[in-house]
Amino acid sequence: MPHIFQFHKGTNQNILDWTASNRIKPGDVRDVMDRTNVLTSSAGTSIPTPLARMHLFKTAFEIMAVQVRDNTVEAKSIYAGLVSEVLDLIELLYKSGNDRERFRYQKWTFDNTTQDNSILTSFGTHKGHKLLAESFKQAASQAPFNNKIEITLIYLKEGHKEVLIGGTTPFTMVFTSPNFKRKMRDREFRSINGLISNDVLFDTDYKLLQERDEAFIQYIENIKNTPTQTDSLEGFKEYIINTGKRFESKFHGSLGNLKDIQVGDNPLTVTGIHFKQINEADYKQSIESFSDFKIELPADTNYKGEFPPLFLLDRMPYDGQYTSPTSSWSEKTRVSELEYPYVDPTELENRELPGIDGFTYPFLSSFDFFERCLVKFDGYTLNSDRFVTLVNNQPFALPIKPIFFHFFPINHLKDYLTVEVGEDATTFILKIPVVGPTKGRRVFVSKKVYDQKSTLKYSGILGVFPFTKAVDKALLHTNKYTVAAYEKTKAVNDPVNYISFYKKNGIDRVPSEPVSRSVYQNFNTKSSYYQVSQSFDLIQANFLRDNSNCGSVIIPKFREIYNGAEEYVYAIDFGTSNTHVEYSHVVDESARKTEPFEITEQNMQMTLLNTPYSREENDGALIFNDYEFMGASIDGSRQIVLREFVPFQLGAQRGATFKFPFRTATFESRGFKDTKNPLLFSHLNIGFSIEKDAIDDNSNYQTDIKWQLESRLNDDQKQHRVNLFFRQLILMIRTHALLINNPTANIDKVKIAMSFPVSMDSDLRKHLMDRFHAQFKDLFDFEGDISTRAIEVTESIAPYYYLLKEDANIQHDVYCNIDVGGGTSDIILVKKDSTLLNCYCTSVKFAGKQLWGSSSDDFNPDDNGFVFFYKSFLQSKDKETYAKVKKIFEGRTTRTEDIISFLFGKEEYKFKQIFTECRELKVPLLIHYASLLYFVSKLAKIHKIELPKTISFSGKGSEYISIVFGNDEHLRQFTQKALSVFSGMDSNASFKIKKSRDPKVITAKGAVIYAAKPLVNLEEDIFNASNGNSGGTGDDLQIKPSIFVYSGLDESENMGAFTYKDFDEPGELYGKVLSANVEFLETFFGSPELIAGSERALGINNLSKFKSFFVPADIAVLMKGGVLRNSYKSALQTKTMSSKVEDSPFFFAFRTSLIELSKSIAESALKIKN
Amino acid sequence: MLLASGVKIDKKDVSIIPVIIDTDAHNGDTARTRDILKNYYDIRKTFVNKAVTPDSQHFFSTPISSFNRLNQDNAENADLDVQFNFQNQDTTFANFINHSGLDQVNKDVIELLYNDSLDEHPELHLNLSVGFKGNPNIGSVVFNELADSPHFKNFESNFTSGDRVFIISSIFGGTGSSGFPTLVKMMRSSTNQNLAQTNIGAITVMPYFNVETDDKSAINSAIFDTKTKAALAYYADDKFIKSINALYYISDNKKPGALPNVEGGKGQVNNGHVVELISATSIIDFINRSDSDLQTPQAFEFGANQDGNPFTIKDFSLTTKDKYIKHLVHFAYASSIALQYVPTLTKETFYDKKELNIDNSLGVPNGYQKILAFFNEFSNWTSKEMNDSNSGRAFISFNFDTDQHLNNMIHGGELKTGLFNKGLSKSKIAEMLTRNEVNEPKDMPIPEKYLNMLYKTAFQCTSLKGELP
Repeated sequence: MPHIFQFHKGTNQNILDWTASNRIKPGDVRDVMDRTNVLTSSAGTSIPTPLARMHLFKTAFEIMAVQVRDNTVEAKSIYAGLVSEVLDLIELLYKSGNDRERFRYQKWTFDNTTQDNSILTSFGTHKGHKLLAESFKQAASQAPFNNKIEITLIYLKEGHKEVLIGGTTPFTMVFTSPNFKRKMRDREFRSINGLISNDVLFDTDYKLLQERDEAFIQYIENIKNTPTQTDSLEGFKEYIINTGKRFESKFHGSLGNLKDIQVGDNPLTVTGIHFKQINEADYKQSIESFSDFKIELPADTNYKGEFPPLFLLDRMPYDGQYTSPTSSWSEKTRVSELEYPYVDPTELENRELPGIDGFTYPFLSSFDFFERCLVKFDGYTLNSDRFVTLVNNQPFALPIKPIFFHFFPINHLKDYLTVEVGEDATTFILKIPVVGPTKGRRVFVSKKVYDQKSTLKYSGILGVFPFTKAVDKALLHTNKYTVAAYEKTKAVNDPVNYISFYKKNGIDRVPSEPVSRSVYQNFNTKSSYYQVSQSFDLIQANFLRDNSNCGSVIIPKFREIYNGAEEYVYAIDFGTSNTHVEYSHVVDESARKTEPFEITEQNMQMTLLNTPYSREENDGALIFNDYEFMGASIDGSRQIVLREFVPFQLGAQRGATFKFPFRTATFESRGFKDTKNPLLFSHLNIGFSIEKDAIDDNSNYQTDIKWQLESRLNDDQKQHRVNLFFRQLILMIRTHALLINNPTANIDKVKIAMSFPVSMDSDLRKHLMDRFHAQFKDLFDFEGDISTRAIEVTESIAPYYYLLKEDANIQHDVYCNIDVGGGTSDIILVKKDSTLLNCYCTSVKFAGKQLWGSSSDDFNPDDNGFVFFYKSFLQSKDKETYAKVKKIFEGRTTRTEDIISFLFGKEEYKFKQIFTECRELKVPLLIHYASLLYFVSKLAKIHKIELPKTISFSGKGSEYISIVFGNDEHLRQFTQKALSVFSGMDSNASFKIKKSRDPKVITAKGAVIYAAKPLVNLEEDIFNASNGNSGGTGDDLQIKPSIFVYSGLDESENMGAFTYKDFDEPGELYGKVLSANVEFLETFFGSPELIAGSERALGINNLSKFKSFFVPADIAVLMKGGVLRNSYKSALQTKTMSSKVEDSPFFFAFRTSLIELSKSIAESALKIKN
Repeated sequence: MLLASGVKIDKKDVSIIPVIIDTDAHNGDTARTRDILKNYYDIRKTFVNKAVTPDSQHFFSTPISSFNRLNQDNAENADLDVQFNFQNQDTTFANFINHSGLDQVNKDVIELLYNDSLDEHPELHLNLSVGFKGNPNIGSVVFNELADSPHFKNFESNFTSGDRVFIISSIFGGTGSSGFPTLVKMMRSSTNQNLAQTNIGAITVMPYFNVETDDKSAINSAIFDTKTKAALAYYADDKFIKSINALYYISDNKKPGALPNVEGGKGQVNNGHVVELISATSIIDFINRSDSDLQTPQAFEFGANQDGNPFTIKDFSLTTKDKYIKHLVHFAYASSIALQYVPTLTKETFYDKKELNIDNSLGVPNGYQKILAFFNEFSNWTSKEMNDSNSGRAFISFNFDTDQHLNNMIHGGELKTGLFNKGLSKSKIAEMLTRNEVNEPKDMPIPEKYLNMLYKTAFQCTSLKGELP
């Protein structure tokens, strides 16, 4: 058999020498195997035309068509590669050809149809350009161009990067550039995936048609069936036909809904065939039908997307259909966090599926849920009663991103997430159920191990107030919070970057910016506060490590609150130095049982993250959470909570830090004064801790809140102070009411009573009340008649309501209560006329301050004899105690009365000892008491009332009476005698003193009772409402309150007709008042019985000598000088001269004179001692 | 070599006008070809009588001439010009087409069609000084410049009726493969109808050798086949190529061995190859075909008796041997005798000063040198170059290294000798030479006598040998 020197195996084998044979056609060379599988760019260039590359692809299809037909496919051959590359590009266009983010098109035309040689300058006039044109002209003259070459250039984009990937060709639809792979590498393009998982397009793993997505195969087949303008696609079509014959089973996909790929306003076409893009919805629908990786979301998921997301893990070993029956998941598929840095549920549908880029379908991976670091608490564990925990004594926050809860609601957390706490590492195990048509239901497990390297320590703690969450629509307005954040200032650990608050759907953030408040070097702790104006369900604490964020989630178990039906009344005794709150359940307009405001373990309003220390006492008989001890690492935070935030617990129980009444004080940030709109907690709060801090750090406390505005009503700073004081108080009351559950309060029926002394300037009272109302309205979301909810009570009368309720018998007598506060003394005198109880109320600005304050400089403790003596006494006798307290004297930041209050507060400071060391120091107290009795006597006389049969005391200030009279009988006898001496009337034979153990609370209790059914009219039965006869018989008792006062003037002169100016020195009224003062002193010191009795009670023997301290021998001198005049003048100076007189001028002379006396006594005593 | 060996052309008036078109100005193979053609031309002028025509039984019987012959009055004295001045393109393809002057979309089209890397196998940035290095898509553009060259215009304008064109080119990447379709287009598009409608023959040489693998080289024989397939597919569609009257195909792929990988230039000097020899016969085949035979475009392929590797004379068909190989055998005897016997037979009559004056180089030292060099070239070509297995298929034809006699010169065709028959012994050769020399007319110029002597002696040797293997 002859040997023919031929490239191919021709049909004619009978050839010897040169013999005519057949022209070689592409199909003839099919048997010639290529010697390389390297798809080099130069492969196509052996064709002498500039369009050589197009021809190369054409040839490739023709050759592959034959190989497929003959079943001799060389899958690694260069032609398989070329065919694969074309199919890759068509597939890419089919996936996302309309995506302008991914593709740009540019049409290029070489049109020589006119044949007029103008085409030769189409590239330019340079000789080289003309030769190029000449060459293209020859190419254009060939079939199928018909003298016109049209190529649409296809550019692939990635962000701002772009690469020319290929172009259209009439031979094979598209062909690729010899340069695009290199350029994609150079420009750092990501690899491109096809429709099938992990099939990287344009790589060396060639994919022939039958190996592709079935819908795509169908699309290609459809191209084959589309009539074309020329037969240039023959080779391409032949390949499809032959593939279809050989792999018939792959050709049954559904074509789906395709849309034209648009280039500008025109479709992208070649030889009349339109390029199509798959309809995304169809494709997504198909994934939903076929994927074995769909997350089985719980019924109550927050995710509302159209398609269930897939759950995909990096190179996960689970098999199953990925996106279609032909596209299985590959273990090689990377799901990289770098590529999918964050998930946005609204954008989830636009997430490109891994391994099949360019195509979007929602999916999630473990890194969408896990944070990169685990945040551990420094020195405490998470309180599992108040926060969601996975394990007992959980020392870490959850390293879970809020988005997790978008898919898996909080209440299912433990179904999906568990944790194993090891010695060196903590492992979180995420178990996600997935479902699919071929694999059924499976649970995919993903573990995340946090070792020491990926664990960071949070040297801080958070606190949330109020720890309630309303579900009732009516209560939603209460879902406003302050979140406190305390953090070490010198932490070596990673600092908190920011804190976010999320709704339970895991995506809605509640905006809140922190306000930095304080930095305490001594506690190595700083504080900041977030005002969160809506409810939230997740707290995300974010830390910075290596300049990138590490989040952690804390889920509060808020106490859910509902609106009840019951009525409750709260009453605030807003005192000058102390404030007290009582409350009661109200049934049928009657206060059932007044109780002091408390915060117990069961109704804690604020909570910190930590598990409180459980203390056992009495062999376990008493177990309580000790909020005084939290361990060293967060003790600084604990102390700041007490100063700046909300008490853990209030009340008498063990574990409570404070109880009511509390010092009327605010604690303010340094920035408060410069802040235009200061916020509660962020800048200011009630200074519950004032006495605890008196020694250490008291500079930021403010007292005298009640009278702040007296001198300047429009002072912004003072207004803010009052506003925020009220705000916190009302907020705590509201929270208290919300947490009451036995029976549950109706928040819309909660009333708060507020007591004011009658002596208060009406402008000031109105001002305060307006502020109180404003806060009430805001916090109770109330818009109606405020007087029905926020009720004003006269301080003088309030105690009587309580006392009357306690002992109905007092209504049959003349009864008197003296309420001695810090700033005012409120007195009520009640006389029964038939069924009418006439209540004479009065209030004077003569109270505790007139003993315990400074005479001229509020902040100079040496300006008070008691303190002055105490200091000297301690310095010489008890240096140890002095060392403890001396700081308080040095700061000049604490009012003297506050210092004394502080010193009285603790036995260990031995303040009361001054009265045994120097009994004379009781004298100013005695005169103070005597003057009040003188005042009462005058009232009785003026109003022609018998002397009271019963006197009771209320108010914190009244406690001094016990110092004067160590024995109740002494007190009773002195009081009875004094009233009689001062009034000139006979005292009641069965006169008695009703001493209350807790005088301070009486006003508040009375106010509660009053507010339960406040007087609508002047005269009304308020006590028998419970019997249902309020409008009933004429026997019903009615109260008739009236305000009266003894001014020091004649009984006929009405003080209210004058202004303060009228009392100025040296006027007539001035003289009259001062004379009245002298008369009091003369009467007191002039009564041998009183003096003798007093000396006995006080244990002194020289009482009379103190008269001269006030009253000189020459009265004229007294009018022009001396302690009484000075005191009078300084008192008058605090008044607005043009105002009507409401505060009795009688006590002006004792405004500072008793303090002066104390100084004098102290000096003398010390002189003697020294 | 075929022409030198006296391969018979059936037409008296045939003259061969060789034209070399190569952008690789310094190509070693091109230079060698050019030199051999010039030597042939010179030898024929010196050693061959003008009356000898292509159909004569004579070495160097067919005249070759320069393509610009008609413009030269004194053609006979001029040097043979065989190469179009289409070289020294000392620039890159990018510069050639003024790539930087293109607007962006045109640049992008070029990017889509040409590899624009600098460091791999450049196309756009290919330096054209050494040809197209297997990039006909570049060559096809550059070749268009040829149309404007004076040489081509000269060739075009002087083309007359009855002239034919035969184009030799490879298909797998050489310069020829680039220019082939363009050249055909230029001819078929010529305004000179003689040229436009002439009979064109062409041989498309397909892969027949490998080059050593070199990552840095633009030439990679692994894709010769791939390129060939692509080009064949293109040729199948090209209307100009389809118009070629006689298209010869030849290939000898998939044979082991590799030539040094040289991208072109001086360094590219490849050994001759039996496929090239066979290809050369296609020209003779084409010339011998009648016009009527060429009316309908045809394709031709070459067949041998068998697929010998190494290939030997016996593997050729009888026709081939008779038409071509026989003449080469003549020329082989002549070469061997001229080189190995004539210089040593100093005592023989023909050697004498009065006869051929061999000592004095026949009185034409230049010419004598040239013809000896030619014989040398031939013997090397046949005995060494084509016999090189690195070239792929080796062709073992003649052996010139045997002990001074020619009995074993033809591989596979050794002359049988015996006690009384010493075959082509030295003395026998000496005798034949002298006899043949002295029989020539006295007035015949010595160089002609010399060549006639060799021809006749060689012819007698062949006759003695009898049938070729």
